[in-house]
Amino acid sequence: MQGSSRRAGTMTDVHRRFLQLLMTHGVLEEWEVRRLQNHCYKVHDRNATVDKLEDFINNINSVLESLYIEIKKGITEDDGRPIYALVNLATTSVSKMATDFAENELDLFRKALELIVDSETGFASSTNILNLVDQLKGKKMRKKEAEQVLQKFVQSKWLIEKEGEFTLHGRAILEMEQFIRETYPDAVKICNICHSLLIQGQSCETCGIRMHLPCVAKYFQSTSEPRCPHCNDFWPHDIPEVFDPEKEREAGISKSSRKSLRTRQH
Amino acid sequence: MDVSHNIHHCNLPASPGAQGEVNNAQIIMAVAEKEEASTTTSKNVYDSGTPCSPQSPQRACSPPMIMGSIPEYPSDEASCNQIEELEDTVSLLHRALNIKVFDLVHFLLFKYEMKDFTTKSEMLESIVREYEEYYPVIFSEASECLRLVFGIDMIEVDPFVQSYTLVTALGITYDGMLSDAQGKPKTDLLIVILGIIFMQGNCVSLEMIWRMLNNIGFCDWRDPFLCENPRKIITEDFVQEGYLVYRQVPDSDPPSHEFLWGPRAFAETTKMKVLEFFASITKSDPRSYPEKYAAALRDELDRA
Repeated sequence: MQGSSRRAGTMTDVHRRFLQLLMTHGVLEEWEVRRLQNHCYKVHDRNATVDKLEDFINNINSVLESLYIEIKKGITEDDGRPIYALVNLATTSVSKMATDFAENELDLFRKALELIVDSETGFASSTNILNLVDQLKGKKMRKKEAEQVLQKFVQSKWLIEKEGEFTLHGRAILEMEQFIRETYPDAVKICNICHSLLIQGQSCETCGIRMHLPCVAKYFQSTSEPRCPHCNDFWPHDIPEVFDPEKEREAGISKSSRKSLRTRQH
Repeated sequence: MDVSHNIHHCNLPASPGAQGEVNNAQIIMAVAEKEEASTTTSKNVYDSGTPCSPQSPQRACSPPMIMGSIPEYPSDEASCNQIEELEDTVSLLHRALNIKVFDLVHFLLFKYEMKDFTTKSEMLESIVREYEEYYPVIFSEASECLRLVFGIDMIEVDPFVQSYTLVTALGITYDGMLSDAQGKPKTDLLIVILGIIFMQGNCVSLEMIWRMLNNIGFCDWRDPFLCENPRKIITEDFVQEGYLVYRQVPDSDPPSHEFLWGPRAFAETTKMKVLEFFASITKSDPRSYPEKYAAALRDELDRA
């Protein structure tokens, strides 16, 4: 029997509950994941010390590895918030959505996806998507219906809507990056800093390289004169702020103290 | 699914039930396991930035007693080729079966998320397909995996149709999240309802549920933001998910309806747990409801 240098971790009820709840929620922000982790410990192993989140997740992932599933961490493209989702690694299509939506709905998503990937800004307008309604596979769909389907996608966190335009939710990018890179190899855009798929971002007007907003924020953090890492030309866009979870938490606390907190404790 | 990526066998200890059976498929798997141990496996996954080191996870299972029934290598060369061919076919089959197990696990995970039922024919049609004769093995490996890794049980709901539901094996609890996300677990409301039903003699009308909820001040001290549409949740969502059963009272005229515990509630929790919870929110002792406590104890004994 062959030995291996990395042992698969052990699953306890704490990990199993965590997985179940993460699955039910679909995608969670980091602070929600931490709270979920604490809850699972409280319920199943009150006296144990809570593992560091990274170790906790790595432990679970080492067991999930042989099933081609992973708890993947990503960051939202617009403001750099860390998010977590359970993704399938082996399937390289929109199959996660496949059993939830009808054939024509899936095709609508594919059409929207293609428009988004092709676009310059990473957004596809509602009008452009709805104009493709006649080309959908499966049952005929009217534009009114298609509008509702698009809203379904927003609610299930596959798309984000901003002022009548649609882009991919962080969850979709986490889940489908591989698929998108394989299906649209020419149209796909890559971030110059982190080398992953880029849907929304900033681009250099001289040489055309692109960067995610959070990557821009980190790269130019303490620079007074931001310059393109590729062609050294002056970087013409506003530099966003680096996401700070501490500031976020303070803002969250002041918001919820207005609405009195009645957390149900188990 | 692309067959070309290498597959590991599920990293699980051998299930106690399976050990007694020595059917064809398991012999094949055991031989293929030996075969696979000598090949390097690597994962075919794009992961931007993170290097993926090729290694196979530590095997916890190895049924040597099954290996013993495989013939020894003969010295004859022609027979050696035959054995090689057999091992090739066997390892291909092993890989294909593993893929089917993963497919089924993914499919069932999805069903769990959707709180949907599934049937044997649905599983056969969408996943198992051409490997129908291996369905029992695929099914049992997938269920085992679900239980050990995810803590999810497959409960047979209807033995005639062979339909199954997927429930947590860990008991109902809150998820501890304020439900500001859409349609998220309202387990606290559910447990209260189950408690009410139990306390009222295992079946209760909707009016009684409302009365009790008001009595214990449930809807009062909950944020209205969270208690959005309790009527719909109780009469539709919980029923659909199998936690409650809503039926017409037999021989009632005019027809009246009542709520009972549903199959999923029985699978995921017990009367004792619900009584204990109920007592805790009314700040009393479970034993202060002697009749109910006795009923709950009896239920525990029956389950044991």
